[in-house]
Amino acid sequence: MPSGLFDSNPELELMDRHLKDVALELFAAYDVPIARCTAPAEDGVWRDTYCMASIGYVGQGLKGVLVLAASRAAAEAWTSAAGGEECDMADTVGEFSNMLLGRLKGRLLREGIPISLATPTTVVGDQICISVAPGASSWQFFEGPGWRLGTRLDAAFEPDFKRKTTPAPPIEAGDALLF
Amino acid sequence: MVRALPQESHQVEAVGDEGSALAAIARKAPQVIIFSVPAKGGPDLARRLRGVENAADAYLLAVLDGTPPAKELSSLISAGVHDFMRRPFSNVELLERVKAPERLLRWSRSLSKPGAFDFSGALDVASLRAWRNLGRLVADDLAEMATCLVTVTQGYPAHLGVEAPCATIAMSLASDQLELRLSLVADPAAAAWIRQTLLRDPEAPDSAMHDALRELANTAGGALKRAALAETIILSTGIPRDESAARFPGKHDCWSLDLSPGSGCLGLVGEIRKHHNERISAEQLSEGMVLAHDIRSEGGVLIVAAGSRLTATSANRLAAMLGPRYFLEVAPAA
Amino acid sequence: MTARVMVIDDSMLVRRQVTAALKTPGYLVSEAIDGVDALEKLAELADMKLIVCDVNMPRMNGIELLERLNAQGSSVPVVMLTTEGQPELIHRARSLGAKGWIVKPFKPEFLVATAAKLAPLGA
Repeated sequence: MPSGLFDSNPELELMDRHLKDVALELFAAYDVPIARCTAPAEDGVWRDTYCMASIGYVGQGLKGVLVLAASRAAAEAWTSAAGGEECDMADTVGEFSNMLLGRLKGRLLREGIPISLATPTTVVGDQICISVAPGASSWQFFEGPGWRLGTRLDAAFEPDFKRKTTPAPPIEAGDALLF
Repeated sequence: MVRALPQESHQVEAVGDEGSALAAIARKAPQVIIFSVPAKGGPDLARRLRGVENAADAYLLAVLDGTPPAKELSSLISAGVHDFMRRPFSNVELLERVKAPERLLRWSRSLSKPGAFDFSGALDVASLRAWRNLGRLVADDLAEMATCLVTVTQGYPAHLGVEAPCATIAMSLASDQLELRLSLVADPAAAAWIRQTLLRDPEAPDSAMHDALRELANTAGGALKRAALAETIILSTGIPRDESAARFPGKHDCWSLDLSPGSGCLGLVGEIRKHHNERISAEQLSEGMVLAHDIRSEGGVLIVAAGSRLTATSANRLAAMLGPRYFLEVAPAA
Repeated sequence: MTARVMVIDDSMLVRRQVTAALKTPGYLVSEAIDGVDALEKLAELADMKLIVCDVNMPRMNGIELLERLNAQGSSVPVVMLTTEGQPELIHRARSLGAKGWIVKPFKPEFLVATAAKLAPLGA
């Protein structure tokens, strides 16, 4: 991660932190222990990547993409856990990106950053790689038993982006308003 | 084409004209329909094939000569075609294209396997303050309504039987495919309290007592909805209704609401259920469905917001405005 | 001196509670069970001075009723009486001409005060 990336992007740091938590949470829910690991060497991500899912999201004054780069072993492991077959691997990785971003959505909602998700697109191949992110983005890497996963969170904030503040106390039973 | 599809795994019926095709579809619902697109009238043919009742869920695969203009492709898609193949095609390609709906079927089966995928991972309702404090929230509103004291304890009142009067209200979080159900169950003393204190008629008939219990369920729903709003969660509320049996087989949270000493006890049950949204045409909209997304005009103006619960009036209005070819995602009526 | 009020709610209990609250000071209360029923009855009852209306009802909800009443050019003041508290709904009702919003369970004295302001007896 470029140093100082989060200095001008406190929200990206927040989102990144929550992403790490929900990734650990998601796999824990399937009894799969994973842990954060260091980034592979520059082209290590691409050499290892067999399946890449990307899912867009949009909020008020914010938009971006979550990219999941899974090794073949990762795609196989998740697919088998879900009872699918080899031909289902692309769909499985797509669904995991959906679940990950879905959980992130719940966390962000409580931080005053509501987002809506698009549907995932998945690509399968050897040594697939993607273009450089247009704006702020952050990679994280996780290791599972015999496999590796990379996540890239891209986020573009409009100049007037603001986190939603806690709303005023709700109207109570018995309250009456006259217009 | 028939020869290309292995007999062990495929039941293939081949016909030479539209009439035979429609008859064959009517006889036995196909999972996949492969048809040649004529030079003219392809979309209409697709619509007619789709129009047979048995074909409602079929996967439509259109075979084309060469590459037709983009406009025709999009007309075919609007008419219900799912995928295309261009002549000449190999048997391998045919097999791959026919596998797609099989994958979709396997996927939908795997979704119903417990713990396979958690599509509602977005929102953990049980962790919301509003949910955790539900007993107290409802008790406070009841106390307000009847100017009495209501004490709250965790846990379902042990003495409440399955036959006790029960009213339920369903609340939808359509975008997360979740439904929350609140139920209120009254013991005989509480039923008497309802007659005496709320209806002011100790002899009020059962129908009146049930109506009042439904309104209490409505009040409970309102309390949850307003509290959830403070946590930026917007719930769509249904119309409360009677439940014939006070039975709660799934996972649920419960509270016991004890009315002023000696006035009986209400059981409050909160259930969080996952459901699958349906994708239907505007013509199929009906009362009780909840929209999972905004409906906007072509200019982007909001017509109906996501989360709106449809009444018969709004369902008819949208059906007339949008027509049968406009598809929407809805949470089913609770 | 009296004034006619209509309460519209699919709950009989609420209709009873509103009637009880408004009868005491002298209002004459008519009832309807939802928007469709209300429109039929309003067409026949003359001289309605106030409508007290729920939001969530079958067939036609309170907001849809407000739209209909507007389309008909009705000048009868409408107060919403509902468990809802969503600001967007409140704004929508207000923009459709509703005169008030009371959250259930309601305090009878607030309802009476609202009626006194919008439909004073003997006016």
